[in-house]
Amino acid sequence: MPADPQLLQRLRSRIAAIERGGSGTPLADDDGLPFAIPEIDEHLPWGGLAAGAVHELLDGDGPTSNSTTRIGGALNGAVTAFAAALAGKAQRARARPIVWIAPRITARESLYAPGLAGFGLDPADLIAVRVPLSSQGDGDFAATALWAMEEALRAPTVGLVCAEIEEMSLTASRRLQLAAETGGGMGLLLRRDTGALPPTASISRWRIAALPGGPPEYANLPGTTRWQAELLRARGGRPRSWQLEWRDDGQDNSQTPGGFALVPPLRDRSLPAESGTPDETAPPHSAKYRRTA
Amino acid sequence: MAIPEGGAVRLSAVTLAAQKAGLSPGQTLADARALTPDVAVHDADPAGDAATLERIAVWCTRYTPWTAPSGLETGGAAGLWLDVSGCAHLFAGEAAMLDDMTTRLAAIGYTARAGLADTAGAAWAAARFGQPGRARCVIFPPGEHANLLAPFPNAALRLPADILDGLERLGLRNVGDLSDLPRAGLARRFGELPARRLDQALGRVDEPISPRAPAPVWRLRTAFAEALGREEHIAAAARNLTEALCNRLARAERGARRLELCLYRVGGRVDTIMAGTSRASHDPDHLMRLLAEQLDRLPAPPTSAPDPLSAAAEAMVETLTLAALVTEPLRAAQTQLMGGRDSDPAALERLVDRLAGRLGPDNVMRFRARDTHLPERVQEAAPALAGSSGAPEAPWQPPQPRPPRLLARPEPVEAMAPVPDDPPVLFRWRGRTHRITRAEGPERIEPEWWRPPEAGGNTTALDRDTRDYYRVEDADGRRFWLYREGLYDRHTPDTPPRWFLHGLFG
Repeated sequence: MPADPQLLQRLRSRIAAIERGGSGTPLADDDGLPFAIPEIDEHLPWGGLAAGAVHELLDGDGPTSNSTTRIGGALNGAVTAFAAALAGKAQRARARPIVWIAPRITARESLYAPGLAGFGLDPADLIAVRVPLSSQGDGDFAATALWAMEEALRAPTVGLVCAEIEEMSLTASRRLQLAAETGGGMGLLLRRDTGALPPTASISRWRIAALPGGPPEYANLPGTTRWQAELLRARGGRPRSWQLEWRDDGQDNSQTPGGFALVPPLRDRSLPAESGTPDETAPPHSAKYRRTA
Repeated sequence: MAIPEGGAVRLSAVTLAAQKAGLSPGQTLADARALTPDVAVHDADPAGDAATLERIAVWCTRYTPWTAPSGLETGGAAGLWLDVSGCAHLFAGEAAMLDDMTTRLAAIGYTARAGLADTAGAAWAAARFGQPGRARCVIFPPGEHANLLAPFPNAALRLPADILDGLERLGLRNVGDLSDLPRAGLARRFGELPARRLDQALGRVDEPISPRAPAPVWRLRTAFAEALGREEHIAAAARNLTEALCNRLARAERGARRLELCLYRVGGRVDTIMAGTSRASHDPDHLMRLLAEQLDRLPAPPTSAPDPLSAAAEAMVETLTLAALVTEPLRAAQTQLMGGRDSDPAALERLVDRLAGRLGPDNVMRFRARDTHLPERVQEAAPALAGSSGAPEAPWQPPQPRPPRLLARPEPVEAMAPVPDDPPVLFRWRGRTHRITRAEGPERIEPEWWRPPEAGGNTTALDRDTRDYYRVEDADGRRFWLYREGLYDRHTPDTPPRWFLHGLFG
């Protein structure tokens, strides 16, 4: 008789708590953040994104993102939208507000509430924290931003903490992970993929890149938002890659928020060559993620 | 000290030794040099004097919150007012308090004389014309000021020199003589000032004096027998004060919105820490965390001490005061942000307060929708916990898709748009070329012509022109929000339409 998947998840989270040396509160069974896609949730050791942990989302905006011509200061729309969608899920699942920490320089590319709402994140329950760039340079900024994220991770009333922090040492990353474990918070770190990121204590690292949109395919309109989500590393799990899309269940401004879905297998529309094959068992950037993982 | 005055350089203040040599304030410098050729003269610095006096007034708030500098205009006669009603018992009596005051001031380099009486005028006279004892203090016991003032010279009534001369010529030598005179005659000759000063000194009329800062109602103070040097001891003392203040606030069912913690250092310096809360609170843990956050980052006080050891001694803290400058009745209504299962709204407030305490209240915010169709004006920053008033907010999701990231200022892009009223086929932004494969639009957004140009003169034609927005996708799937400025048919070959990038889609 096959094992009950829910039971397996619970046991896994217990083991995860024990592995952390019992320093933190064990993960509550229902505190994780499932994608609501069985294929992904079963692949992840925590039945979704684990709570009491920090996850990294790298902005995988193509090969130039580590060159000087990268989009200065801004994280791309794709990774922002992906984080917003996850934050929106956390907001609803945990019924708690979201804290989003951004450096002030991104006031040039500020979060835009109407757009976030489009990915199911309710701006009314979003606290945006701007960390001013100080005259003492970026080091001071990073320290302040890390402090703010730690505070938010330790606060029991925050559903999810999203932070755009570029520079981070392994020690800083450990501190964040520890804060999440003790406080039970869930953190998302939005970082640029420089190709040579230092090791991290975050329990998972993803690279999020844009994919050409889904249907509608008529009249050359941009279709549904699609992402290539590569799981580069996961504590206790294996790397893998999926193609996801955003499904707006309720058309016409309805109240029901959308959700993630796997991109259906290719039928009649060919993707541009450089995006690779949509077959999810052979991720297009497999060579790259092996190098980084 | 000398200062130019009315065409001649006059002395504004003299040292005790100079006084003995026959110099006095008001003499011309030439006369002074004639009397004592070797006199050392320095330029007077009235602004510096005022600043110093203000500093000492702050220093004196350890005795009473109600302090005010006084009489700067009279130069050397400057002093400080302290309303010590109800404070003296904290220092074991009035004499002990004044003794403590003058001794401590002497320790940081100021020679002070103190007078204490029922009225401000009598106290002024007591400090300047009384016969001080060992402690340089003169105290008029309650109700005695009329008798005690009688032998004082007329100058004790804060009168200008010309009136004093006139009184002198009439043979009125002291306050007693003056108070015996019929008022009408006095007023006819010298105006109403002498009579008013007399009444003020004797307490017959009220004398309002504005304190430096309004005295807070909620204020606690603690002084240490031995000054504290270690940070953790100071923090522990602040913690005790916070708990005591919170107890009092709790009994009154009030909470603090603004706190002020003052550290009175041995060297005479006073450091002030302010903390604000987004909602009235009397939770000592929370308030103490807000204070501790800044206490930890207090810079070492600047010092003139010659060696590190005495610098450390000067930085020791001898007195702490904690005041709730703004308090509010506690309301039952709590934040309107989501209160989920097992979530504690106060915990969110605590987080917001701590973030705001370090980053500044403007940097911890919530988005509020505005009723406008101009994309950059739709979202507005509001204080994170400014309890939404319950007014229905404009819906966030417009009928057309919007990007999750918006550029604060639209950035011009080089675009190739061969067909009028069509999106470009190619554009270049921040050094990168994007070939557009799919596009949707235009969505025409008209400027709000009825709105006056924004203050600051930042308005360009860019804000005043019709925009045609396109949602475009490049070959790699990146999505952008582009717009063309102005109507297409208005453009000539010489002025091709300009394209801007305004947002990044997911």
